[in-house]
Amino acid sequence: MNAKDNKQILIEKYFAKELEVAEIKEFEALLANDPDFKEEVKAHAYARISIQQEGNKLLKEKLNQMGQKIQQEKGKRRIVYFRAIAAVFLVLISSILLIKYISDPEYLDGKARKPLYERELEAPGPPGLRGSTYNLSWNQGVSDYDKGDYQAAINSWQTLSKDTIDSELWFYLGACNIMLEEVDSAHFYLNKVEPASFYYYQAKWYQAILYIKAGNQEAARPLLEILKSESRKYGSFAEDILETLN
Amino acid sequence: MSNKKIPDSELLRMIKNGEREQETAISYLYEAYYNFVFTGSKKNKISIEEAQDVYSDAIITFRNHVLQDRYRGEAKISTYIFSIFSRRCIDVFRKNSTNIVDIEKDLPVHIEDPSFSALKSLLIDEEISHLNEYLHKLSETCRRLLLDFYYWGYSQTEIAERLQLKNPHTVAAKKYTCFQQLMKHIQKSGDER
Repeated sequence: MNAKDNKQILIEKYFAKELEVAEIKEFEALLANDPDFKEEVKAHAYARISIQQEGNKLLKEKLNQMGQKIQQEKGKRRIVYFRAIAAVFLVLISSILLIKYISDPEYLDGKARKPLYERELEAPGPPGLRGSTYNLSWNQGVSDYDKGDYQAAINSWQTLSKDTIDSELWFYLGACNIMLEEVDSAHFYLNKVEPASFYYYQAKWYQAILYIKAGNQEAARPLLEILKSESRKYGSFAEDILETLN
Repeated sequence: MSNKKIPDSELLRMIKNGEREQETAISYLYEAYYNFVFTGSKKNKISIEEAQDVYSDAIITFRNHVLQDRYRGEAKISTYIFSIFSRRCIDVFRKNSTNIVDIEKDLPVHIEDPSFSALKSLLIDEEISHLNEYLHKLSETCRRLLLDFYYWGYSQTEIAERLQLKNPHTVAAKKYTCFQQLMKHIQKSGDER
C-alpha cells in the first residue's frame, strides 16, 4: 500500500468518524501542511456536499408532490363536506316544509294548492245519535247521512224540522243540500243556525264558500269578516280569502 | 399510509436506520404535521405554496439534524419541526432567504459535527452553491448509487438489489469509481475557476 492509498484511507475514515486520537492528529497535521492532501480532503467534502444537495433537492421534490396530493385530497374532501352540508340543509328545509304541510288539515288532500273556495266542499262528519223514541227519525237520518245517502237523510230529518228550534238539525240539512248541490236550500237551512250554536261559524263558513263559488263575492265578504273577527277556527282562512278578494 | 400513530422514539430509530424505514418515517412525518402549512400560511401571510415549500425544507432539516445528532429528543418532534418551520416562514415573509445559500441545510450531515471544525474552514460558500450539478455529469447508475449509499444510507447488499448489480462487492467497486469521477468533475471545475 503506497502513501497515496494511506491518505485515501485516512480521508475515508475521517468522514466515517472512525479515526483514533493519534490518527486525528496525523490528519490535522497533513491538512495544515500538505496542500495536495488539503485539496484532496476538500474535493471529498465537496463531493459529499454535492450528494447531500442533490438528495435534499430530490427529497424536497418528493415531499412537495406529497403536499400537492394532500391539498387535492383536502379539496375533494372539502367539496364532499360542503355537499353533505347542503344535503343536510335541504333535508332540513324539506322536513320543515313537510311537517308544516302535513300538520295543517286543510293541506292534507291532493287539492291542497288550490285556494280554499275552489275546492269541493266535503260533508262534515255525522252528528251523534239521540236517545229516545221521539228521535227515531233523527237517528235514521244520521244513519243515512253516514252512508252518504243525503236525500234519505233529508227525508228523515224533514219530519222533525217544522216546529223545532234545532240548529244542529238545520246545519245538517244545509250540509245535505250542499252535497246535493241544492244551493238555495242549503242557504235556507244554514241561515237558520242560531248564533249561539256550536255550528254557527261552520254554517257561515259553508255559506261564504258557496257564495264565492257562485261568484257572489259581495255576499261572501260580510260572512268572512264575521269569521275573521270572531272565529278561532276559520279566522285565518277567512282572512286569507279576504286578502285574495281584495 | 396507515393512520396508526408512530411514537417519536420509533421515528427517530427509523430515520437513523436509513434505507426504506427512513423514507417511511419522513413520509409519515410530512403527512402527520401537514396542517402546519395552513397555520404558517395564515399566521405569516405567505401563500400556501410558499408555506408548503418551507414545510418541506423544515422536514428535510429535521431529518438532517437527527442524522447529525443535533436533535436528541429533548422536545417533541412536532414542536421541533414547528420551530424550524416558523423561523423559515418568517424568513420567507421578510424575503431575506431568497438569495442566501443555506449552508446548514446543504452540508453533509457529518460536517456539522464539531469534530469537523478543521474541515469547515476550508469550505468556501460560493463554491458550495449548486455543487449538485456535478452529480448530473455522472451516469444514472452512478448518481443513484451515490445517493442511495451516502444520502439514504442503504447497505451495499440493498443497493445491489435496487440497481440490479451483481453483488455487494460490485457495488463497493462501482461506488469508489463513481465517487472518484464526481471528485474529478468538481476539481476540474475548480481548476477552471
